[in-house]
Amino acid sequence: MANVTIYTTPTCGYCKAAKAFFKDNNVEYSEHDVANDSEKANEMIQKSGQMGVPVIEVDNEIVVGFDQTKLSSLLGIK
Amino acid sequence: MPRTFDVVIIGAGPSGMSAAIYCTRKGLKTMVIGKDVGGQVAKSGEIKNYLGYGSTTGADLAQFFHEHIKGFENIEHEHGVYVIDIVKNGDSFLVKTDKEEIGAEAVIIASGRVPRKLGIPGEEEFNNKGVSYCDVCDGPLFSGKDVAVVGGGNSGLEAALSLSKICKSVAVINLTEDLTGDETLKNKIKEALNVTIYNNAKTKKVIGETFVKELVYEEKNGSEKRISVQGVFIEIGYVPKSDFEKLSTKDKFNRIVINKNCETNVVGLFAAGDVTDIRDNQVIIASGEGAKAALSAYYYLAHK
Repeated sequence: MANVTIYTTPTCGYCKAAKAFFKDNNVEYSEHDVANDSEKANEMIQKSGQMGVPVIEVDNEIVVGFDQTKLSSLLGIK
Repeated sequence: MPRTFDVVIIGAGPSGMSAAIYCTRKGLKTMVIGKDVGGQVAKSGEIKNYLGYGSTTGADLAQFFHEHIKGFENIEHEHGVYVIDIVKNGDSFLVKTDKEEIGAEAVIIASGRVPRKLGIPGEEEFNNKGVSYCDVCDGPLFSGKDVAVVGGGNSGLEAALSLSKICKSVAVINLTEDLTGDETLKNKIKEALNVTIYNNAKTKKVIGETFVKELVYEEKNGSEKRISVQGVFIEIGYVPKSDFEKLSTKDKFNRIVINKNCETNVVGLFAAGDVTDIRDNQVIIASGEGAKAALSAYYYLAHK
């Protein structure tokens, strides 16, 4: 079972799409709201080298944006 | 042998998704191709005028639309794919993407609009590293910071207003003599204590190291000034995403010219929503136009 973390903001459309994708595929994940947690915001910026959301971490691999193709490959989803 | 469909819809925003529902319910073998899902609406803030949804957000509305099309098993939906051309293939079409060529008896272009770029040094380099085109998406990461908004029209003023509530300061960099947005917005902006307006200011470049540090602008007299900012929100309007095909006729704004049935000048090629020359760009209009284009495609195929 992959370790999945998503950094989001409440108004981000692609963040919602990513979470819906996880739900549809029974992927468990933890979420950090970077709009309200500046420590996690900095963590996200350090890990991804940029400020766009969502940032998704799958077992230490960073995916910037809702890249369904890359996420499917990392999570073993067809 | 390329995969083939009755209808290929280019764009997965409201007009594309609405078209997909109408096509599939008419029994047409349907594919929707989009680089993302939701189009412009996914990046919009509060929406209070979409019939049936009361007060909602663009992000939520995009999600509702997506759930709706996911409910139709027969819609083939390709994400993260770019269409790079459409060519005629006898009396059918070939839709060329960055991955494959797809055969289509009819095509609906619903590719919408994209933010206009400034075309200045630093803009590409610092994209997502301080430069943003979406205050709704990215504003929260600039909480307590100094930012600039380039653009004195409605988009710029709305962005500046919403950023002023979370950022330390907002500098509005406006090219013209005065702000060009609506009076109510202009008044609200003038009342916001942490917003400074720079008129007659031409943005020249964005400077930084890993992330943005400064914006450089030119005054009317030619002198260069710098402001220290961590974010630069570029809000200078939208342009139609119509440059990937040469079949259809475009107007002087590069919008695809359509008739009231969403037909282009090419038989079997239809277009819907913000990429076309309709007068108004609203989510509910895009949805309606998508449905119209789908029905036109259906009638066309029924008589083919």
